[in-house]
Amino acid sequence: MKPLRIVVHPDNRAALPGGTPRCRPSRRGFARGPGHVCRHQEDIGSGSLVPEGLSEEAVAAAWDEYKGTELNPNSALPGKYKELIGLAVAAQIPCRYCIYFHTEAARLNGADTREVKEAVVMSSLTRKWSTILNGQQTDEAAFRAGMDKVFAYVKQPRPRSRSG
Amino acid sequence: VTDASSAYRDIEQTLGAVPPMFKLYPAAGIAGAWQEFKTVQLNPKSAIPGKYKELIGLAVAAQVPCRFCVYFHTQAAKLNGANDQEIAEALAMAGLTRHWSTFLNGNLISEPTFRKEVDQIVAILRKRSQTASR
Repeated sequence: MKPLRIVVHPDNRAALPGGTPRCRPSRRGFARGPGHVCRHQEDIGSGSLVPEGLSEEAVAAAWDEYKGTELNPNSALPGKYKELIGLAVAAQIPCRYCIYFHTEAARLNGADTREVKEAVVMSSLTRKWSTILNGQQTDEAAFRAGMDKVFAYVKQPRPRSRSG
Repeated sequence: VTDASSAYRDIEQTLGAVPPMFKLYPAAGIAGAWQEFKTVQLNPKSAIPGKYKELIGLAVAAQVPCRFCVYFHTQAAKLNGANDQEIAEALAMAGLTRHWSTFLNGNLISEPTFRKEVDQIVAILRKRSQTASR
């Protein structure tokens, strides 16, 4: 097993979370444009989770993508649901690292146990029906037509059932 | 709903018809399968709002990949108010998860070390968000 090696440049290690990071291009070449390692640290407070195995060319772009999508509070989906989506995907790969990470990240974003459970169940439901529909070589056009009827039906405004 | 015929009746009442997917399910298990579908996915009082349940379904479907499921969950997410940006982002999250899964598993990263690092990061971020909210 390869250890997960921390790639933060020594100049950046001194920067504590919340403090002012001292940014300098890493000698390792990870900070091609000065600041990639540093921006990483500003946000996460650690340079870990970037194992040695990631090619140097890939680090900056991978981090920018990750930051712009998963960590971006101004993206289309709230953080909690982004992490629950990640968990649902992770659970059925299955990826033990990803399950641990997304569960913790979802909780950090305010998800409770019920929500975590439900995301996992939604994942398993999707896998279940995928197995059935694909395994039976379902006709796709017929499937869509049948579903379109259902969607049209449930879109219709219906009088609310009055109980009491 | 206790048996197949009452399940089909309930499906028709809820969805307007019995769609092909439920006809494909073995009759012996349809009552339970329908109940599960209804109480989890269609239940407006479950833990996760419908829009996000469908986006979760879509994210999973996209990387199975399952064409039926992609179609279904995209339509169902839109029906629940999801816009194109939200759909694109759910798909991107599925892609990101697969991407890092491939990378972490492929490198046989040490699991205890990985967990420890996640714990550290979560602790830092939790502390930071507490400080920020003060």
